[in-house]
Amino acid sequence: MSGETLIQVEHLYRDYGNLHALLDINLTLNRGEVLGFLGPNGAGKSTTMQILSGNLAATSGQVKINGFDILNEPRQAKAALGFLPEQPPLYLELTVFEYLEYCAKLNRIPKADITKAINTASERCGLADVQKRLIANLSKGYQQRVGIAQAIIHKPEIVILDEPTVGLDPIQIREIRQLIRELGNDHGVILSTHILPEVQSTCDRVIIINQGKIALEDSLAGLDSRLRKNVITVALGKPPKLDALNALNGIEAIEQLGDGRYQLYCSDTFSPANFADKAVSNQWRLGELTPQTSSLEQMFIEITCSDNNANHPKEEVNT
Amino acid sequence: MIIFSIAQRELRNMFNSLLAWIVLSGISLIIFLILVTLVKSYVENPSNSLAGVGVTGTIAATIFYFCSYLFILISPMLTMRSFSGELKNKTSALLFSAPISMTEIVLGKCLGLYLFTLITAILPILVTLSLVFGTQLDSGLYFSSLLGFLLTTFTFMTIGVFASSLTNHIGLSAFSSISIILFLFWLVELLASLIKVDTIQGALQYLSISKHANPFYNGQVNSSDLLFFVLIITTFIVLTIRRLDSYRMQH
Repeated sequence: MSGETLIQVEHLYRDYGNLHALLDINLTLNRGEVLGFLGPNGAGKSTTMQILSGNLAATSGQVKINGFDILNEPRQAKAALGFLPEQPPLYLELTVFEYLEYCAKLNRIPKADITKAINTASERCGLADVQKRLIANLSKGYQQRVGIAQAIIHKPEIVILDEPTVGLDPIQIREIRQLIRELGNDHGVILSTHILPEVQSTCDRVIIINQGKIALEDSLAGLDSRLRKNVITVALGKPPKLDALNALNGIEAIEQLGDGRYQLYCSDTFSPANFADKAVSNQWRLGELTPQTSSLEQMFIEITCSDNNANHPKEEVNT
Repeated sequence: MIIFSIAQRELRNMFNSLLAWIVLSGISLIIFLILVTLVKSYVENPSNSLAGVGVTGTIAATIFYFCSYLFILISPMLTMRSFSGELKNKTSALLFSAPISMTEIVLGKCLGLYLFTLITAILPILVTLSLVFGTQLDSGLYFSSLLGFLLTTFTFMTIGVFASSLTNHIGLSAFSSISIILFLFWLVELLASLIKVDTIQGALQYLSISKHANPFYNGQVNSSDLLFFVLIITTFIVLTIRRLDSYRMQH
């Protein structure tokens, strides 16, 4: 990662009448990075992406693409940008080649380089064999690839993909993810999705957006450590008194699940091995010892379903 | 360069769909019928033709004049998809996120439609030039009425492009452009005759497209009429650019 800043967004607001679609969005994207933009439907993902790509104006706030303001210097900003909207902007009556040729012209690729650019882009997206076919006759997966090819034909610094794997079959999804990872090597990529495994398999950094606000921003590594919460479920045939359990080293809280099952909330000093030894020596008749890892999905639901995120005030403000 | 690419796309789009071919064949059929009728009545009774305008005036200028009326109906059909279609299919995102200005997009679209108009103009031009085999044409009158026809249809096309930027509903787009064209071509004069206040009446009369187009068919090329067409075309181009810019605001 070279770390050069490609997108800088500051205090972005967008209103639709009385509805506040975006409230104070701040984000940056660096070269060589795949940023995952995660959120439930209607959270403001597409709105943000449309503003970043110059398709929608912000109510207030600043968007800088490759150092150029999207409103004041749109031509330079947009030249550094490739955008695949939620619905790929395809002319169904054209062949793949004709379509990409038009896109190349729109992006001001010199005439001499157009054929080369088309071939490179279609090769990267696996379109080499279908160049002469009408887009209308292609499958959804191939149409999506044409949409991505359109976004990368002019080798932009930044590629913005709005839900690129929607409607694809699992094999196509894997191929597209592979492609996105490749793009992340030399471009900066922003990817919006509500498919959680997609984030884990493709992104370096994640922003979770909810109700127009950034609810969480973290690297994927940071996210993983957050997910490794120290929660252990134990089942004891002859449970001791609660106080005795509470007194054990590293246990912060205990929740009784009934039938001798307990949920232990532990700190880092807790050791499951020690607990097992203790249970055996005290004859608590240990029947189960299961560490719980919360999934990204649980975390996502916790963040997005909690009212105004009041339950997680410390975790979220992390910008 | 970009403008030409967009114009070329627009033009090819027209010929990719059935519409252009139907329009062209329809026009050629109508023109042929008119030509036969006009020539027949001229040959049977030459003295019936308007005094002093001769065969060019009675046949060639009339055909161009009639064609401009045809375009009141044809141009909304040709332009209705121009932006409405792109907004409806969301292909507009391709244009809006490319490094091109709204002005270039609109000029490209309009240029494509003007080129199509020029292609359609080939039909009446060929038909009227066929008169050369039988008689001598008054070239001044011939070219001024051709110019009148082109300026009028360019205006209709520009109005159509503006109307299609108003909505992503294609039918509504066609209806709006036909309404604006009918109003400016014809209804303003009716309105002007109803209002007896001098300044308003004068302003309304000035807005009438037909009033500025008619002198061309009599062989008069007035700089004030030329200026009017330049102004009205520019106005609708600017309105379209502004409309599309504001589309990003409200959406």
